[in-house]
Amino acid sequence: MSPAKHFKDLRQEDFDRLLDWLDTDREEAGVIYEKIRWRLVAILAARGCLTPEEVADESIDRVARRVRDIQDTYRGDKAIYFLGVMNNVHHEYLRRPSLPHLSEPEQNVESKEQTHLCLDRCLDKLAPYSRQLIEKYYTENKRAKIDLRRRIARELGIKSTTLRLRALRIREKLQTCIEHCLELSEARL
Amino acid sequence: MSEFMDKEHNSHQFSGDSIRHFLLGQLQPSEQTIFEEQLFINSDLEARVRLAEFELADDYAFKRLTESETKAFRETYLLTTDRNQKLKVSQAIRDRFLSESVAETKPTVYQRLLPWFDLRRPTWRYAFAALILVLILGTVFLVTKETRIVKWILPDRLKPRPHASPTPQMMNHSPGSSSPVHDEPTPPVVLHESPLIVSLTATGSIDQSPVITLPVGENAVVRFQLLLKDGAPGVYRADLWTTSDETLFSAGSLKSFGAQPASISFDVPAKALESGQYQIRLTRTDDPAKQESSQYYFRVQ
Repeated sequence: MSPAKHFKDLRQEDFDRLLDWLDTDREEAGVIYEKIRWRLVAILAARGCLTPEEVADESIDRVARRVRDIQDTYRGDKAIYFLGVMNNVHHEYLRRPSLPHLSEPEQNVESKEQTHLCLDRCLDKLAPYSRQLIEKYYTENKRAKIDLRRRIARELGIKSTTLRLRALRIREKLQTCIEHCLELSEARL
Repeated sequence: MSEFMDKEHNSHQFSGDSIRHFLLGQLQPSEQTIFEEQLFINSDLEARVRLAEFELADDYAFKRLTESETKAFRETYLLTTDRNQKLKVSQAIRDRFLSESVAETKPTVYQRLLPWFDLRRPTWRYAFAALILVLILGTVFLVTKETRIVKWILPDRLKPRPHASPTPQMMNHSPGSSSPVHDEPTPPVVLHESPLIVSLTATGSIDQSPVITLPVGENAVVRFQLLLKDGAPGVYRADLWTTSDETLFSAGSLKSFGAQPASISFDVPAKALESGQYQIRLTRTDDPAKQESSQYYFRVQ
């Protein structure tokens, strides 16, 4: 999701100022921004906030509007400043009347098929070793997870912890690839 | 707190369980605050939490969570769009790999046994080859070493007919045998010449006795056939006497043979005889009541 999507009420100049404050390199600033947003969302979700993304975006909006005032005087980890603002926004959120939790609607058949199609495509794009590793990691689900990981790690000549990290990183790549694939397929429609 | 922090590293290094509890909203308030602060300043922790998100989504999709974890997952984890997307991919992975897994891990008994009876397997080929080799070797062993078993197995009609072997050596040792050949000195073969058969009847005087010509030869014998006077079968003893009352030859346990009249037969070496008159006294030995002897006479020319 691009940063611009989160800033419906934010002026472009405030947003640009925010990125400049985070890093002079715009690309690096974008990475920092995404990281901060992800952290805010994760924390809000862990706190049980039913709309973590909205609260996180609102927190970022407030920081962006204040950058002009603080950018010359603020010292310390800039990310921590976001955390402080988010705490205030979250307190405000908690005072609002609670909304019913809407669970994620079931995936429709077409969307499911498309996800499967994208998964196959992304699996084909993996390097042979990564493909072998991820297939082993997920195929033998029925066995005890720890025993399974030990066995696969032994087969591949690596430690169990290394296997887990490698598998999850491949999983992360798959996620990115599939999301990109889904976006492309949606764009075609 | 011991579970929460990895004290071994003496830093804000959180255990995998702590990260999981954070994602499920199950950390204690004090732990939550520390975790949140660290998440903002510790990029390593952030990376671990990101990976743990995938793992948790996978565990949920693969139904590896406990009941309380599943409840927390639905109430806390699935609050973001990003995580829902992760879950969709996890479910797709589950659908993709679990079907393979079930097919691989739950074969029927028939499916498990079927490969063992596939005769195209190299194992079966080797097994059959080995079996044939064992049969051939076993047969060779039986034929060469265990002739008794062969005799027992083969029906009589298939057994070779007995035939005279050229020599005893050939009988007991095959020509091609590598075993040492016994070379024992065989005794000289005794060549028996046809005996001169002399048939005598019991008479009272020498005048009517037959005259015989002795056969020539080292081993020549004269076979006397004595006709029994009363014709009664029994066991007899024969003594050959000269006219000067010298015993030249005796033969005992002679059984009568034939009937009407019965006779007794015995051989005397020809070289024991010379020209002259001889008497044979025949005495019954099996019945003391009938020990009356008969006299037979003959003359040698």
